[in-house]
Amino acid sequence: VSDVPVTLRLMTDDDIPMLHDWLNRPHIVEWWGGERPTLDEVHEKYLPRVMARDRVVPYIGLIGGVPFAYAQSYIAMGSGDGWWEGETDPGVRGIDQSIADAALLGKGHGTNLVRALVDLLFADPAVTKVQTDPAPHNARAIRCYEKAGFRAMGVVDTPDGPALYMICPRD
Amino acid sequence: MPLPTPTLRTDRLLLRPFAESDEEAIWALQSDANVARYWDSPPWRERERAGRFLAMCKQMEAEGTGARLAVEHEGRFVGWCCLVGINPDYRSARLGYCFQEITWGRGFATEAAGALLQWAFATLDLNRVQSETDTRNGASARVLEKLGFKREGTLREDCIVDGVVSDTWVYGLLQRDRVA
Repeated sequence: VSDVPVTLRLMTDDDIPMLHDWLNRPHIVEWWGGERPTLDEVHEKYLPRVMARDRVVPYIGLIGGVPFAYAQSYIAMGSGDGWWEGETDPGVRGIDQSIADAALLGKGHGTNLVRALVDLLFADPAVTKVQTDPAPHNARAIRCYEKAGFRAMGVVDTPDGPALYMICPRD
Repeated sequence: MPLPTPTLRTDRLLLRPFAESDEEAIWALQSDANVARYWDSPPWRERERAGRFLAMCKQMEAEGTGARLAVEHEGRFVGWCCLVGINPDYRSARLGYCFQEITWGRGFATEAAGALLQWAFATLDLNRVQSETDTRNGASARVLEKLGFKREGTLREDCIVDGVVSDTWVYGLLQRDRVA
């Protein structure tokens, strides 16, 4: 694990052009939707107020104040559109993230990013556990989550296909 | 529509939803006569007010009318801030904050309210946030001015609290004031 500190801030409308650039990078396209979104599509889907309607919060990960990653958290129960339909605990939060700067992959920054986000979410006393759902063959992501304290619970079906359901319980 | 209360981190502070475990802290704060000196109602005198406050936090969240956030510094409760009266038609809301006296003068209110405003303008598509302060409360007025609020007027003899009559300043912050 890297000892370079990672911080998080909320994403704003002004980040949309940067996010559009990121979501078109090949190493992100590989694991994030599999498509290259246009600027208009990113605007329609990722504006914070649009995401808030689905109770998703977008963040930008920073190293030394410089943006290097996208992350998001969501309330699992009531996600809709076929997501997490069996979840009955309102305290479950889910997370997703992606390192935008390919030069920073494989250095432990992802683990620190996940830890920072998990810490932030557990600061809410109502949060009971944090979940995530990498693709079952995304070994790099799975390893990152394991190092950050997540346990694999098994493969589940999601609207995006099979996913490895992983959870991080409150200490 | 429900509005989940966010969890926000600043350089020095953690802002998070209130929990049952905050009952003692909120009681201690709101029953402090010095803290409530310029509040628009007397300090709390009945212990059950704390439980009602926490229930109201949940109700606001469920109805989507507001968000109250407990503020922690180094793991300790130091105060709270809130965005209430969210009106999606007007795209407006009101800002409020209250901090323990021992923490005054350290910029905590400015830092916490700044983070709350950043979340609110981005997430709620607000156009206007209003805040009011007792005209004798210069420290609170400075917080609002540091946040970019403009003083828009005075409500004469707006409050009478325990027989004391006071005037209120109205401050407003527009989305376009922030970009400017």
